Amino acid sequence: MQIIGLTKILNNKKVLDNVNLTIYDGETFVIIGQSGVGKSVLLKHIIGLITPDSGEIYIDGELVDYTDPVQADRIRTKFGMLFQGGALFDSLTVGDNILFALDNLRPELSEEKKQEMMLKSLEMVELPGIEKMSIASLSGGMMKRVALARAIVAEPSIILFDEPTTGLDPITTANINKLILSLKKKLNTTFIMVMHDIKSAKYVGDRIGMLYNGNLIFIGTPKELDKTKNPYVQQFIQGKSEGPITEEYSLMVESNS
Amino acid sequence: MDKIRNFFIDLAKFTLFSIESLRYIPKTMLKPYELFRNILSIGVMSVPVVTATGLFMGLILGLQLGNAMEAIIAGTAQYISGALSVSLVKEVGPVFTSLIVVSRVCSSVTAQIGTMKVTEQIDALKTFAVNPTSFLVTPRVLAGVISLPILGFISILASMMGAWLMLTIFYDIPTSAFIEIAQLPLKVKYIVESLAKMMIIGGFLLLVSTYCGFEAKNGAAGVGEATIRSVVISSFLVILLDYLLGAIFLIFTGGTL
Repeated sequence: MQIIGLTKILNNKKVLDNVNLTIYDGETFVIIGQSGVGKSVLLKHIIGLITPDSGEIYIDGELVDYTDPVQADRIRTKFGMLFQGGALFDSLTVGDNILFALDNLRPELSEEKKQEMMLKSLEMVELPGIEKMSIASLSGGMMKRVALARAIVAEPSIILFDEPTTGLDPITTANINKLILSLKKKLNTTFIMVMHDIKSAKYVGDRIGMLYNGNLIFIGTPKELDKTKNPYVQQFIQGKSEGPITEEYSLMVESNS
Repeated sequence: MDKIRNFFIDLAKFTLFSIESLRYIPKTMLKPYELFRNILSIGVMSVPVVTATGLFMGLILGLQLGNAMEAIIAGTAQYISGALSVSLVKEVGPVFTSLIVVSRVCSSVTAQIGTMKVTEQIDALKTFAVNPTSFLVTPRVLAGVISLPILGFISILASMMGAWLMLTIFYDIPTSAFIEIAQLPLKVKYIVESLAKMMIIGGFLLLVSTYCGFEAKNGAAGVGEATIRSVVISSFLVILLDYLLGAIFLIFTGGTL
């Protein structure tokens, strides 16, 4: 997947400024940065939930125009997405939420096959047997797992994660990270993740990119992240308030989130 | 000036939203599950409240008008059924039923869709290659077009029953006289106009309430604001459309009674 020259202005602020990025098949790429800096905006461009002011996105070598509804629907069948809050449909049961993905992304499958895939996806996220439960009765961690099951059930080639561990306690966070790694091994799929938790990013990521002031100021492996001499990156990963990332900038991006 | 500019921007957005929702009518008719589900929740589930309020309205009108007529000239209460049938069919029935639908249906539709918007469920629909307008809006609009005339008819019947009860109990009006006098001033074109009016109002009410839901922002508070906006605009629209459609029908029918 390739992003070339992506630029986006929101509320008169240049959130993304000529972003260039190549993500390789099968890798886990994690985008880190402060809250409100534009990580989710970048992620949503990839699946066309936001359209850029300028720039190009290539998926499997194909230039994507999400304003073309036919191409948009076709390209979106390659994706699964885990939203920050899960975005589960609360009028449907757990099983029906997952079947909804299959009904629309894999309509050619038989009902029996869809049932089988739904049950298998729940097993893969370590929640077998809960398909008849209502969404309202799920805990935060369970919601993330069900949302993940819904994201993977149609066997996409790229899965997007928008802050998969935000709002979860440390133990549940560790369990979700472990689950993500185990799914990675089983599915051999490209994962693109957005998070601000450095520990999780280094645990799950093959490569990490840091977004600051509209651009990716660092791209590299977790080891390269630790060793980088980039003062902006070091200030962020060490969690220091003093440094080149000023308080004014921090307040400005925080107001975007 | 800003408020006037924003009003026209909103009006333009609503117009485009409405046109887009109409595009998906053929698709909705071909896959009518969502349409039937919405007819159930918008139409069938409104029957008890519409019946009850219609009945009580008839009771009050029968009692008060009967009292007033008898006070003017004794023995004239029996003619109320004629006045009631025309006024209920032409104006009171459509307006009253529409306002009940506004309070019961429009508020819940806006709240439901608004909540979906702020919790990214609408974005999730797009990632499953589901067009949110065709899935959430068009079935509801069509359900409104179909349901409101039926609900209006039920309300008018219930009101007439209420009036009949009062007039027979307090003024000894024979049922045969009530029915005969009720039919005297009624014309088929009044019924046709009333049905057409309610179909159009029903469609607009659901367009406004779904639009307000799609425009919700900023979490729970934003959903609350969107719901209030939906109810206020819908209530005003009922009176405005009632007047405009009444005037149009009057012009097209040559203004005769």
